[in-house]
Amino acid sequence: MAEAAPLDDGDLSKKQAIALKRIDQGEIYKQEGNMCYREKNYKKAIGKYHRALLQVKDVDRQDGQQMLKGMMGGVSGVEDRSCQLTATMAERVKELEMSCYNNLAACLLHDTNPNYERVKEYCQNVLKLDEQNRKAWYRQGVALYHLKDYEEAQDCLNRARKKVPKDPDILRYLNLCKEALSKQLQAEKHRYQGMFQKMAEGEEEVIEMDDDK
Amino acid sequence: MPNIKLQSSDGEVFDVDVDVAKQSITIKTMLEDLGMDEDDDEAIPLPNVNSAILGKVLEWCQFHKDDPPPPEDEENREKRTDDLCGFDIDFLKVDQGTLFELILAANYLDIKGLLDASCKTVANMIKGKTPEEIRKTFNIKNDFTPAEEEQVRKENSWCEEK
Amino acid sequence: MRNIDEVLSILQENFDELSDEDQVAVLQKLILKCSLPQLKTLYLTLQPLIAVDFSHYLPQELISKIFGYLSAEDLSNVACCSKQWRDIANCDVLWHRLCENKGWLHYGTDHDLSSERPFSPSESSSVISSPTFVEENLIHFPSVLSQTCRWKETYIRASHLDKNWETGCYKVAPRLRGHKGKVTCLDSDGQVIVSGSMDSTVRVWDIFTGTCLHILEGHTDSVTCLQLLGSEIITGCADSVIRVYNVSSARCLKKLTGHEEGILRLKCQGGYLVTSAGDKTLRVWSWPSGKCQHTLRGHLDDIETFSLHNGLALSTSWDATCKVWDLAKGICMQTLKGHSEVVFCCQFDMVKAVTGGGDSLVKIWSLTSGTCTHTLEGHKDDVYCLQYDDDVIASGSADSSVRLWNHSGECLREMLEHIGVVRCLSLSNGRLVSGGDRKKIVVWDGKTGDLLNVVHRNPNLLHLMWVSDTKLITASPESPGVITLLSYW
Repeated sequence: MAEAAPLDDGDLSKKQAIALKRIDQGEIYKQEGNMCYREKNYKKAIGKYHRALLQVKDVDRQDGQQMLKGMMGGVSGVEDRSCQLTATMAERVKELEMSCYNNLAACLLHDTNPNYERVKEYCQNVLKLDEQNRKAWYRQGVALYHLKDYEEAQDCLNRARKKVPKDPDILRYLNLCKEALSKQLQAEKHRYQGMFQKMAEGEEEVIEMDDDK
Repeated sequence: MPNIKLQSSDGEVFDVDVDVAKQSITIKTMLEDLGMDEDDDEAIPLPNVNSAILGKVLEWCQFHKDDPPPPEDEENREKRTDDLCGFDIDFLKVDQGTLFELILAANYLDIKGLLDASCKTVANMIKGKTPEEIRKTFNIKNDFTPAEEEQVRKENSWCEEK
Repeated sequence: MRNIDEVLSILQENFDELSDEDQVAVLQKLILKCSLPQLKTLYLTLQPLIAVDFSHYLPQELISKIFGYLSAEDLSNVACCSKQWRDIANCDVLWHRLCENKGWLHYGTDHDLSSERPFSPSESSSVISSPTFVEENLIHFPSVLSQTCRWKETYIRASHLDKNWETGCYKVAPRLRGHKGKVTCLDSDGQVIVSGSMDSTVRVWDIFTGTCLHILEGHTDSVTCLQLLGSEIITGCADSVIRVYNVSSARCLKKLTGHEEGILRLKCQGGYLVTSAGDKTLRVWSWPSGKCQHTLRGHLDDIETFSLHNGLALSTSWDATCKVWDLAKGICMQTLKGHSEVVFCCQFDMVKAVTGGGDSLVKIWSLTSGTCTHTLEGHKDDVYCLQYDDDVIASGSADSSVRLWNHSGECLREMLEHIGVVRCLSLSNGRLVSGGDRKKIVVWDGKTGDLLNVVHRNPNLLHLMWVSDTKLITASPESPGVITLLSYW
């Protein structure tokens, strides 16, 4: 279906040139987003990161209308829309997506009332592209902690620890999870004690036995 | 009503009601992350959609803006194609190129209702047709050798025995 | 007069110099000048130019989404269009969904039709059309084209099998003769048939060759019931003994004694063997040890039949009641009272029980309360057999009719085709097969009750029937007994 990809960015077809422009623009938005983040202007940063993602989304399938212009109506109608990215371009797209999702997660966590589900979603997007991404595991752990899924949170935080075992932020959250879990266990114990109490005092269920008449 | 600005790939800016734009989950997610703030009036570029298509997409969104959210896609239910509303049927009476552009745009912007409607429309163009009729409708080149064509005919002859 | 070439070249020059909008305006003006025949020609020229082979245009997942709306027939037509289209349509996800909608998933898993041996007996009565599936139609290695995907293959096979049932396309094996008395019970696993007879023997037959592999001896009276369980055969005899044989060696492995009168019925399931006898009791034996755990007493008259489900048994009796027994504890949980005559047949699950009686009624009971929730009236004579699934309850009666009911007790359909008593029926995967006294076997659609096929070439009276997805085995009530095998695959 697609032509073999040329080896470097120097030799591009018209479609690939357009794709390259979009990737460039995406990176510009990302940089602008990073600047806003440093200035603590998180809302603006979020806007920039989303714009960056929109640039590279589906960049391997482009707007066919531009291709139709100037084309003689051939028998096959519309040209193949797909655009094979060069290896470099594909790599840049992947990097860009990872940074943007990671940074979006970071921005959201700065909110007064963060949408933890969304943070979790963005972290998962990063991890789909890079299983080992430390920041994504960490932030996912944080989000899960706040969503009260303590065991899963610990799992994520421990994965984040693999490369930097003494990172203070990770350790802090691991402790928080530990405390929260033990509190949960206490609460459950009380509940079950209550239940056993009731059962001992209450009536047993009777199974109906039938007699011969 | 708050508005947002969407920019097509060929530079045209569309000033759109937020409720209309939120039909696109992609845009909705972004707005939720921003907390519905006015985003400096800076337009949001949509490089995968040209102005003609974006205009049509927004027309669809405008009509459907008060629709309830579509149900979760039950992957394995019997899928119907005869349940398109009157507006959608007319709306999608366009040339094939435009129809496929709409599918791609709906996919890019994550607008489930439009994506489903346009896919169903294409499916309806296939239903009930013989292979030769399907080829004619979509200008498909028959690239089977005669031997291969015979093999494929046999493979699919099970439905002929009626 | 200018010739056409001159006109074209002048037009071309001027046209190319115009802006896009002006070009469109010129074209529109020209079109409006056209006569109808000219427009028709234009339309024909335009169509292929504007038609888009979207397989080159849309990404795979979107094309799959479009194809996901197609029926199996449409999807097969799509496969014939071009190599690319065939490749995209040749997708397991799409065909798996189509199989699921038809209820055919098991044909790709537990009852895989691709491993089901086709039936071709050594000598068979002349067949009008063969039910055999043509393997060569599917595309396998080696081939330039991609192999037919697994679930499409399953769909095609299942569709073929279904059509065989619908159109009555089957092979009849030469009748299995040998028993010297009436055949009283039979079971099968698709490879062998095991039959018990009043001649006090059990015979093991090979389905594909029709030969009698073994004659199991040792019974001192009629064999009344049996079950083929893996590599063992459990038999019940009128001499009150239950015997267990190995199916390959034909050796008797165990004898279970205890009942005081002849064994009437047996069923082994989930670690329990349950037997009923003329002594009005049921016994629970643990399996495979064969130790007797409980004797279930309570019925006041002969036990007609019983059914097992999840550690419970439901027995029906000539005392017009049914009893629910807990097999582990050996106690009666419920007694279902309501029929006014013998209860002939039953089926149950964790929530409800359905019974059919000599009072012509079908009753639905709640197992939790033990009361009758619905009484299904309509039959005019004994209800001899019934079976239900999630959608319908099917009942067969001495009044020659088969009825379909829903679980709310409404009669959906009265199906008249049999002459004489409807003796047995089998409902499975939306297919209902009923067998009647006067040789008739009828195949119905199990959801609607539509008559699909009347099996013409059943050569015998029948009183027993065993049905699987691909085979139909019946035994005749006369003496000496004969077994008939029909294969739909």
